Amino acid sequence: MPLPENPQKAPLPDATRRKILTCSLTGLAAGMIAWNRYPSWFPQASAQAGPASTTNITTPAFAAVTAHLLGSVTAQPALLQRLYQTLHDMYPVLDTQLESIASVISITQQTPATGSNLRDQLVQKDAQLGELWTDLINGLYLGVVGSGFKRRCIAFENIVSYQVVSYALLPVSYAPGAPNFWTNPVVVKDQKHV
Amino acid sequence: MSDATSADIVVIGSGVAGALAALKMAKAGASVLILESGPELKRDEIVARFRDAAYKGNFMEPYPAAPWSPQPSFIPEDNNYLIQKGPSPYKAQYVRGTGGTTWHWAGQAFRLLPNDFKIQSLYGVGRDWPISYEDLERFYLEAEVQMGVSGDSDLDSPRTQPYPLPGIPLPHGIARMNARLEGSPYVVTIGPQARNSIPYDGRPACCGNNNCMPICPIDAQYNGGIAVRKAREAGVKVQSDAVVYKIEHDAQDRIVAVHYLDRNKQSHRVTGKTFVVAANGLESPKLLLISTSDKHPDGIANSSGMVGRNLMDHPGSSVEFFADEPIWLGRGPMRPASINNIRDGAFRKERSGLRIDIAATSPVRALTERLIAAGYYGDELNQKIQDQSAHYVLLKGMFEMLPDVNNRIVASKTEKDAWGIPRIEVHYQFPDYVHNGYEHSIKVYQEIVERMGGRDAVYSKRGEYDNNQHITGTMIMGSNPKDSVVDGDCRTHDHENLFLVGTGVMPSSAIVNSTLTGTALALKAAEAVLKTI
Repeated sequence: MPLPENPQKAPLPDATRRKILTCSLTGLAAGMIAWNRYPSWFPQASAQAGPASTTNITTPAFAAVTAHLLGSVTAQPALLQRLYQTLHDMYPVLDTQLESIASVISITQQTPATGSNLRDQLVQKDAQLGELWTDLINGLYLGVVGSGFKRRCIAFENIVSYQVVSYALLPVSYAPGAPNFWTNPVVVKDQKHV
Repeated sequence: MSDATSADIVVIGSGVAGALAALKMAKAGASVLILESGPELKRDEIVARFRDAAYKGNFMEPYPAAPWSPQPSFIPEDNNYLIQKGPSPYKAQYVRGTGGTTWHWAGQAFRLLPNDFKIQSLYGVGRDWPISYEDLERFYLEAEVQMGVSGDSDLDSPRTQPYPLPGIPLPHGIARMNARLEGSPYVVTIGPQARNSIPYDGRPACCGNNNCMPICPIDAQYNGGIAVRKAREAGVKVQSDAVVYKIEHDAQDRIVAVHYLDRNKQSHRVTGKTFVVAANGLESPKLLLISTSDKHPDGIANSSGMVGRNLMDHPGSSVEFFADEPIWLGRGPMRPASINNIRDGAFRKERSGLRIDIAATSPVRALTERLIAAGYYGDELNQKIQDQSAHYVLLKGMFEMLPDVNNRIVASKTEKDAWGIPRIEVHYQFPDYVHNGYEHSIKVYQEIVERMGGRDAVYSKRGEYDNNQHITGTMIMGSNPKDSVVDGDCRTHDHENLFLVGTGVMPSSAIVNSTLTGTALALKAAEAVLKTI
């Protein structure tokens, strides 16, 4: 089914674009600060083993890239950790690739680009970076990574797409409420974006 | 008591029709054995598989097929279990396992209209039934009591008693839509649903998980698994993983046994006095067609040549748009309301009637997938998820197919499944009757979109119709043995102790979900079966 809109033809108002850019830069900067303060978290060799499942470790590059993808939303640590661990198993040189994406993001922030432009730039640089970008955002917002028969679910109830509408809708199958609660209008509280 | 090799009554298939018929017959004192081709299905495992599913929109993913009971699947790719011969696609989905496909239905439990039983007489199209609405009414009620159907208006299907349960009230956003449509020809009404509006029959009231398809996590929605459990409690023996592949008859054309393969490919012979085939509208006719003998080279119950023919379903059109006020679909059950008042009239001479569901499925996942595919991320993505989820509306209309002998299934002569049983070839074509219905539906959608202040409306295309998994017509009911398979009691014309039940016997598909009618017919058949033993 065709999309009802084309992001290339519907640019955000300037004020909104500036806000988003500011948020993205803030997130990226936060990641970079952590990266500099804790260089030992960043793998020095691509063959470094993945983190143990019982530890809460990602890398500054992962934090920076995911912060850029999420905007002003903060994902639950358990989701981030699960995503990082899963990707670590899928991508042998994950941390190097994350570093490359962080580098591209940093460059594009000097010349603001739409998401698809950014993704295109990643693909031009290295097709695998484009795949990683897709797995990152799918993992955060949909709880899935991979494609075709290799697609798999890594999370559900804590994914970001439900998080951003949690004032109105809960994840399906986890949404029990008072009898007939659906007859009442949605009351918007602490809604950041609409 | 029945055992695994013999019973008074042998039922093939444990879906809602077969299981409720078995329950009724067991309660009347008969020994009943159900042979189910698929595995045991358990709700807790299904729920867990849904939550772990990579493709949440694939309603088959929580129901993985066993190697001995393959079933159609289309996501991420067509598994080609159904061999499409065209010219139109027929993408039926059904579950092979104890309880059958109602594990993942939407719970919509409509009755047909009285006029649906006589469309040839009234409108000069299709076929008349050999029974009337009035003949079926008490069985509708019996099925509704078993299923716990909630509702308020009779929706022009006359009732001798009220619905067993009060109707489930409309979600706020849909009530707003109804208000916006006031003064138009289109009235949004609460649909009859096999879903508890209050605690009923040991099951809780719906609490709005919005996951009726593919699995209600709390059993507030009725499913065939409940019928199987009750049948077992009444003494019915249920043998799962038993793939029936042959029906055996004697010289007098009475059925004497069926043969099944187990999960180890070992064959077993099961005898009985009366046999009931309830394996859905595709697997049942396939079984009849492959049960050939010297006397019946075209299969059992097929002297008319009608077995597998007249395949019907409900092709569907749709429109999606963003309303000018928040609607917030996704709160409450998934199919709570419909536009039902435009499904019958003299226009049925020329085109299908129309029934429109307001698809109250949470749109968050599907919208997010599209936005990501379009390249959005960060706060722009967050904002659009919020805005679109609030305003998104999806209307799904369905059309009536008419019986056509060229729309048919046949057992493949060359392609077999892993247990050596022929696969199903499907020949299917949408008629002009449906295309004409589509043209009308678009006009209706346009009017509704305008009244809702809709933007970015996307209409489905002519000829590209959704399938609604309401398989009908393939074992068609009629009074003439030369052009039909079963009589008004679902007894085959050719074999006095063989009955075929479920939606496959329906001579018209009408434009409402077929499960309740198929179940009512099965309960009617059960009374006739009991008279044979």
